[in-house]
Formats: sequence, C-alpha cells, structure tokens
Amino acid sequence: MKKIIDLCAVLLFIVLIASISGCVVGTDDEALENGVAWIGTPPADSVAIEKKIIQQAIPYTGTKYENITVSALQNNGKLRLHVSGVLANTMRIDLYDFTYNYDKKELTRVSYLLEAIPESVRGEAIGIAMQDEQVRNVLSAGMGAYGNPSVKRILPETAEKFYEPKTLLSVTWKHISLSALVDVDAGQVVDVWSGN
Amino acid sequence: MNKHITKIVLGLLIMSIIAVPNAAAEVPVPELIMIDEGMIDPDSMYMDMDFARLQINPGYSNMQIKPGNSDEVTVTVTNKDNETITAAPFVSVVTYSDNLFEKSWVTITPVSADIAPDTKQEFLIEVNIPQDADIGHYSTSIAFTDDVMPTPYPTPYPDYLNSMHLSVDVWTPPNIRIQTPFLHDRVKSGENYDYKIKLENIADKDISINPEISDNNRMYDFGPFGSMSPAFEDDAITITAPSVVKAGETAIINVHLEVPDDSKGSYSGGIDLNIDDPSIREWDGQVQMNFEVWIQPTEPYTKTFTTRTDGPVTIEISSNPFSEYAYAMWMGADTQNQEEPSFDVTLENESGEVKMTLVKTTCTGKVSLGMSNFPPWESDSTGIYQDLSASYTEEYSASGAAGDWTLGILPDNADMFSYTITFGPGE
Repeated sequence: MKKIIDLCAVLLFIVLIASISGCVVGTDDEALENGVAWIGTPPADSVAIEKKIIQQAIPYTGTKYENITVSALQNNGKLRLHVSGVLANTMRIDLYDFTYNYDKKELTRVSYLLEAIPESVRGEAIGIAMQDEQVRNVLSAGMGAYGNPSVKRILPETAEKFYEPKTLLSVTWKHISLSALVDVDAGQVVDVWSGN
Repeated sequence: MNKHITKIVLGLLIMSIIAVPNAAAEVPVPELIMIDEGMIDPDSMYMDMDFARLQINPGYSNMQIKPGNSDEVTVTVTNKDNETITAAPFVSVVTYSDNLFEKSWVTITPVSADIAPDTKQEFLIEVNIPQDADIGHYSTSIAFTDDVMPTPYPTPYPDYLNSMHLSVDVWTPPNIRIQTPFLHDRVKSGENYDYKIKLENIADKDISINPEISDNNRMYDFGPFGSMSPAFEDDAITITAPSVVKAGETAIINVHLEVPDDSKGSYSGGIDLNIDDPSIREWDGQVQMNFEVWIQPTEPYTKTFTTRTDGPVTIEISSNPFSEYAYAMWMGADTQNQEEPSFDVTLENESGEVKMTLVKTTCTGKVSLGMSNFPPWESDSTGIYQDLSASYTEEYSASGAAGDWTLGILPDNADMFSYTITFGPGE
C-alpha cells in the first residue's frame, strides 16, 4: 500500500513539474496568438521565418488571425511556404504562398488568395458591387446569374495597378465571368471585368 | 484747252459705247453648284481661324472630395503657337452635369500668364467644396483662353478650344450602414419566408427611413417573345420597419415573403429604404432582391429499363455539377435557406419494390489554379487552389434478375440531376 502511495506521489510530482514547465498544460497562449504552427518538421531558421511571415501575412483591418499554419517544402534549392490564416467566426481563410531565400534571408510573397473577410464587410462589398450599373446589366442578362459571388481582398500593391494603392475587395461571379473591384471605404465600384 | 477737253469727253463716250455690250456679256449667270462632300477637308475647315494653339495636360481630371474639403491638380499648358499667348484660365460651367458646379469653388494660380512660343506654364487648380454642397457628381470645364469653337447656330454654352474637363465627385461616408445590402434566395412556391435587413446608424443624430418596394431593380430576362413575367407580384412582399433609426443604434427591417402556389421563374426587385440623409445617394439606399422560385416535385421521375442477365444493378445519381445551388451548398456560400440536395430513389421489378443499398455518397469538385479567365486584379492568386464547382452523387446497389425494371428518383433541393444505370455481368 505504501508503495502505491509513493508511486502516486511521484506521479503527481512529475505531472506538477510538467505542468509548470508547460509540457502538458502550459501551451503558451501568447505564443499561439502571435506565432505560427508548422505542419510537419519546421525548416531551418524557422523562428526567423515565422517573424517574417507575421510581417507579411496581415489579416483584414481590425481583425486578427485566430491561427496561422505553415507548411514548408524544399524545391529546387528554394524553400516554398504555404501559409493559411483563419479569422474567428468565419469559415473562409487567407492563403499565401512564399519562397524563402536562405542566402539573402528574404521572404518573397509569390501568391495570395484572401477570403477571410468579416461577414459584414463581405455583405457590404457585394451590395456595393450590385449597385453598379454595369454589374447590374450583366447580372440581369440571364436567370440564375445572380449566384453567390466570391469576395477576395486585393492588397494595395495589386490595387495600385488598377486604382490606388489601398486595400480593395474583388466581388466575382465566376460562373458568368463578372467581377467588380470595390472600394468599400468610398462605397463605390472602381473597375469592372466581364471576361474581356 | 477746251479743244483737249472736248477730245477726252468724246473718247470716253466712244469707249463707253463699245464697253457696254462686253460688260453686259460678262455678268455671271447664276448656276447650281454641286459640292462633293468628299472634297471638304475637316482639317482645313478652320485653317483661316485665328485662335491660340495651346496644349493642355491633363485634358481631364477627376476628383473625389468630401464637403468641407479640397483637392488640387496641376495643369501644364504648352504654347504651340508662334507668338506669345496670354492664358487667363476661368471656369466654364457646363449645364449638362448632374449638379451645377459653382465657379466660386475653384481657385486657379496664377490668375494669368504670358506664355512664349514652345514654353510651358503650370497652373494650380484648387477645388474647395463647401460644407453645405450637395452630394453627387459635378462636371465643368476650365478654359485657358476665350477662343471658342465656331458653330453655324447658337449653342447654349460656348465650346472653348483651349480647355480641360474637370469631374468632381462630392461624397461623404454614409451615416447609415446597410448590413444586409441584398436578399438573394431560392424559395419554394406556396411557402413563406422572413428576412431581416439591418441598418446601423453611425451618426450622432436620428435618421428617418421609409422602406418601400422600388422599381429600380426591375429586370427580367428577354426571350424570343419579349420579357418574362416575374415569378410573383410586389404584393407578395410585406415590409415592416421603424420610421427612424436612432443615433448609434441598429434598426431591423422585416421583409416577409409569401410565395404564391402558382409562381415560377424569378423575381428581381429592390427596396428603396428612403433614408433621409444627404450622405446616402440614390442607389446607396437600395436593397437588391432576387428570388428564384423552386418547385419541389412531389412525384418521382421514372425510368424503365430491361436487363437480360441476372446480376446486381447499380444506380448512380448526381446533382448538376454546375448548379448554383450545388456550388452554394458545398462552398458554404450565403444562400439563406441552405439545404442539402438529396434523392429519394426506388427500384421496382415484376416482383415489386427491390431493396436498394446506398453504397456511397460522393462530392465531386472542380478546382482551378487561377491561370486563366480570372479578373486581372485576382492574378496574384495564381498558383493557389480555388474551388469552382461541386456536385453531389449517391450510388445505390440492388441484387437483381433479368427482367423489366422501373427506377424512380424524387430529387430534393436539386434543380437538375443525372443518373447512370449499370447492370450485367462484370468482366
């Protein structure tokens, strides 16, 4: 009986120590909130890469990613990184593709597809798009053309080529090749694409 | 002396007598002259006109200014003439603009400048919009000389040759946020639906509203025999709303739809919220509506077929892969009354109904890497997977013998489906 009590005491002590050290219970909330989770084994310099990812993978204004996951793959001497950021209360995610140059210690964004947008903003963007005369004309051309559009965040670097260097939203009815570039702040459509 | 004068007078008399017939013979006879239009050179029409030749850059400028704010543009005027020209810019208000631009809103510096041949002069055009200006689009011209385009008839306003066009959008952030700017749904005939439109007043004052059905989104498809009738009339929709959205609060407008039993097709319309606030322009205060009436069949589709050998019968049924509904269903889009497609399947032979086993359910998707046919501003998503469409498939199996069969399929929430019947011995 005494052996069992001793064994329990030892186990309790181990669990206590492990808890304090964060091995079992102590997942660092702060680190999770501001850091990233790697899928698989993190690559070399993962801490430095994480910092650079956080600098470039920025969620929609006024929101915060609930979690960021990263998968890495070495390809032709380059490190390719696939990053996904998830907002709270939305099923949609932001996706980024980066490459990391170990020699220059540079993280280069290759592609992005950003759909983690608050529902209220998403609805507002669709509403603005549907009020545009050109969009209305195309939508009215056929039954069922209304459909449910995708709404994607367009970063200022891209938006500059079409309007101004500011965050815009692209409202797209892919099945009828129609898209409106929306400036939500100004409440207006700044460009329309209809497959041409 | 008198003798000389007499000779001169006599000479003139003789000359006049000889000249009269010749002069009479040279009087031009009016005749019809045909003008060949092709001979008129537009470039030479105003060759003899005397006007200052200035090059103005930019020739067009657009500004978006809030009331009480200002914006400016620098215009470079180049003298392309061979003499010094005095440019004294002024505002020439155009009458065809949505709103009348006020001359007093513009300040141009310098007021005047002498520009030597082949030299440039910059003018700063500053536009100041007063606090009480109406929201909307304004258009005007800035003329740098008073040379006008000649017209054979009077015009309501002069067309200045050396001018630029200035377009100004006076806007302000809306005081009311329409959190539900559109209603889009697939509805069933004979059923009732309730929708809520949320309006958030972000101003520090109460704002009146008076929502009512609007004709502004009245668009229907055009077929070979003219436009199609809407699925139902406006009176199928009932709107109840408060008359005021209080400062800092959110109001809810209730939209009740009773879809008539006999309705089919689609309904496009709008709700004009009639928001009494200058920050809301005409189209900003609209909620677009689009309803597609879905008729749920009550009788199954039937297909008869004959098998010549004993063996299992496999039935595969798929929803339309390009169906908007299927897309919305699988992509988690915002169809408000979202329900999964499904199929009620029966199989009968001479002995009666045969028990069928659902073997598997399949979701099939179409994925793009964004390489083509995407809007140019989405080109930076190239290389990332994007879902385009999805379909839902159910596969059933039944053991059977040779004979006649009847397959029955009753779809639910699927506006189009396909089926595959497989039977016979396998290899």
